[in-house]
Amino acid sequence: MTVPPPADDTTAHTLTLQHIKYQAGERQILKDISLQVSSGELIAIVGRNGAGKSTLLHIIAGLLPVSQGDVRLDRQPLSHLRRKTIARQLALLPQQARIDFGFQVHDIVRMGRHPHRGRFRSASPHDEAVVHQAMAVTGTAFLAQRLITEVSSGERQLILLAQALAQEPQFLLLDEPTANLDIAHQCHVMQLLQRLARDGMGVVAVMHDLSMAVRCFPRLILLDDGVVVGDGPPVEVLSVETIKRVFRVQARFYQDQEHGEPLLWFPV
Amino acid sequence: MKGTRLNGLLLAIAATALGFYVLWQAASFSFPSVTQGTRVAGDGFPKVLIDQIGRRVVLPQKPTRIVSVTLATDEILLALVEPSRLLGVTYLAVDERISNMPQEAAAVPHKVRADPEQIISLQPDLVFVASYLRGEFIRLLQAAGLVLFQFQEYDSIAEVQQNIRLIGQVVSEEAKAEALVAEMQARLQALAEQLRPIGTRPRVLYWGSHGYTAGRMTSMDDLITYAGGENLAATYGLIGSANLSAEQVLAMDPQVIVSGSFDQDGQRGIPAALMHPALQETAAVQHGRVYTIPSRYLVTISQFIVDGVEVFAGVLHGTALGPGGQL
Amino acid sequence: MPAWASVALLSGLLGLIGVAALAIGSVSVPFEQTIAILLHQLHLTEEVTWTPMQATIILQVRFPRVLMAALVGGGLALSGAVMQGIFQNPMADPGLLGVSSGAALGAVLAITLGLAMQHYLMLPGFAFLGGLVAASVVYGLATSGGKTPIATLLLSGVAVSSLSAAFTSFILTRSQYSMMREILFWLMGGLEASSWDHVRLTAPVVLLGVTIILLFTRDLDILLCGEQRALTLGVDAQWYRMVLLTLATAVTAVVVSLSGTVGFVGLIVPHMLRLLVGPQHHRLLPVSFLGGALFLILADLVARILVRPQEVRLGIITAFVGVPFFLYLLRTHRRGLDPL
Repeated sequence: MTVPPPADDTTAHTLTLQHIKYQAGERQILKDISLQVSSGELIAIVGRNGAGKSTLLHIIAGLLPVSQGDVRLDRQPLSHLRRKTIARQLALLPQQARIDFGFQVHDIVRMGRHPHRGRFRSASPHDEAVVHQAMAVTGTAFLAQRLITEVSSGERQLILLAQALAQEPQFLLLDEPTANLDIAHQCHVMQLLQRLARDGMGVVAVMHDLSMAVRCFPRLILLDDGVVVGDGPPVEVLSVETIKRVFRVQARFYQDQEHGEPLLWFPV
Repeated sequence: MKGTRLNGLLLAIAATALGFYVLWQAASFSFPSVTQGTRVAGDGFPKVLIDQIGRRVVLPQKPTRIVSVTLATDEILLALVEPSRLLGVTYLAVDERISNMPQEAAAVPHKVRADPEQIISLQPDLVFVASYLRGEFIRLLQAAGLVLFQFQEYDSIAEVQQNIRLIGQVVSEEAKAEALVAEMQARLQALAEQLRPIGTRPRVLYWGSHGYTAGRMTSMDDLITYAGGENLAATYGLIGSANLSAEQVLAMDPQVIVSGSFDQDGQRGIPAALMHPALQETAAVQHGRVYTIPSRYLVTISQFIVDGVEVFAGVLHGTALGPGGQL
Repeated sequence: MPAWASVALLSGLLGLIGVAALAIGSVSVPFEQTIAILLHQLHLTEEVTWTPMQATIILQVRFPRVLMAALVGGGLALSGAVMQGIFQNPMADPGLLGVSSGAALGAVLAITLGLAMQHYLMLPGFAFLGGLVAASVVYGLATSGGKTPIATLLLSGVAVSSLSAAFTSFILTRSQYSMMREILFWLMGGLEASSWDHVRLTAPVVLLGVTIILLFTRDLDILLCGEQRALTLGVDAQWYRMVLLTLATAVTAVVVSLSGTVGFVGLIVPHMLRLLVGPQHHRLLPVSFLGGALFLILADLVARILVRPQEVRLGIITAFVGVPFFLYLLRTHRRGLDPL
């Protein structure tokens, strides 16, 4: 057991993966993955369906046991840390969580404070402040009194994001955060992620939408068939040949004249 | 992974098979009389009643506020004890379809059911309960401080007589009890004399509601045997009550089939339950020897079991003896 | 209304109804005597204005019965609420893991083998064991590689329940006629012969189970956000689910083994209360316990007085009382229902 680092400090943190292998049944899903994530980074994991992106994210979050290799948070192996300790520093937002019971939104977000609360302590003013801020930042404050069963799926995603932010994590892991969201919500989420990274949070998101991944994420990790085949700035990782080889699609990047950003074009 | 799944399946099948085997064995056990009734110690008062697990309760003096919660003890007590001492009998005792002493029972001040509050409120000094009542109910009455006499389910005429004596001891009416037992014995003797010239015992099957019959170690077995019949259920090795299908009845080929009815006098005739077409082949149906006897004679385990024997004998042999031993 | 307020209100109501239930029965004991007897037990009055017979009825017959109603109703309702949380399904019921049918099988075995007549603890003992064994089998069947998927757990529960019911029917057909009556009596559930023995057996397990379960209300809330969110919030979903399930099963097994199978309470009471006080467990669980206790005391009271001097089976009353009320709630308060 180790002493966890204090909740809001300003030192940089790292998540390190070394030679991770993961097997599910007969299938070898991840073959040999090594990478490092630091505070303040904004990373997208991309790849084809079935490449192992979600699995990798869950392993980084410490939710899946690896067959070989280890995941370290600031040189502490995750397997040696208590779950609650990990929860104070890592938050995972899964895809499309459904909640069938009519909790109030405010209460849902407050659950994010659980890793910081003792069993018998009631919510402190600091807890309430963090919850309030998380809801403000995600733009969900106006939904506070509503029931989680009465909000739209986009709003629900934002609420769960607020819950994750209430954990005050150093690393935020998201599994396809923009899936099933309308354009407005997609923009909102991406702007929020950029802001969080700027403020020092390490953000890793599995993205299925290559266009958005290329535009908004300064670092891409390309997974193909259980191995990392690219790790770096988007233009380097996603060349025309790479896209053709990995995604089997003839695509290319155009430069947007006005903003100087790369736009992905692919034939339909 | 596949290996463990197969193992799991085999294990489940084996467990189920074992379960069935255990059940089959258990089901063929029968424990007709597992408990003993209460025993009595002491001649005069105070007497000590010892229940089936050895607990002792003192009965300080002759009981004058007696409550009976079983039909059999209703009938026995009504015969043994002055009416003033009997405070309550069951509500069944006044039901002519099942009670043999409805008029006498009507005179008893209270009619009880298995309601703890009612029984406690009567403030009895002795309560007769049966082992076939729920154990928890009996414990509740004991916890409330009542003196209980637990009446064992009786499976033979000899046991009925023994317990009439026992009850006589408890209520301090030993002489009357002996007289009652002697009368039962005399009537059975007389009947035996009547039946002696008849050489054979007809093959009798009692086939009651829902297809139940009664084998060895039941009061029905004694009824049939003392009435000069052969209880086919016993011959076929059944012990206690058992369920028979029409097929099995056919295989037994009874000469006489008897069932109970709640009518006052019982009727001759074939009850609907016996109308199974296959049974037309049995000797009983072919010779029209299918009878119903009033249930109050068949289910009683008081002194009226002898009446039952007499009625049964009348049905089996056409003897002129009726209940009470009159011709 | 804050949680403590609803708990206090329900407790008060429970006390009132409990005393009222004590005063009513097949033998009439005037209300003043009932109160006096109770106060005397608490050493609050010295004067004796009642007969020993009345005291016996109140203290030896009715008091344990009302307490049993409270413990059984509260235990079943709380277990139901916990099951609904664990399975994330508002239609879950304490009997889901086969506890009720396993307990029934145990009880029937005890009766048929003649053991029930030998010692008063045999029947509840066998029933309790039967319930626990059934639940363990269900859990064992559904767990592989350290994981217990909920869907598999539910299906195993259905399978084991059906199997237990089949065995029970089989035994019924082979049993002596007199035993059959006792078996059916037990299967239909009821509190008629409740005594202090029953309370002594039930109270420790139920109260202990309830206390421990109440420590985990926040974790139960978090479990409802989904397995992944729960894990990443620091709540070991598998472990908590197993612990809570074990506690709920033990409470259910004890309750069923002593009162027979009283259906409906564990399903409807927490569901009704969730519609009224919301799904947060730190409020829902204590309120479910108190509400279940209240519900069953009332149901038992109705069972006792509806067709005096006879009694109606408790399970029939719970069904007749619960269903219409639930339907009414469903129509007027659509709050907190899962979108279908």
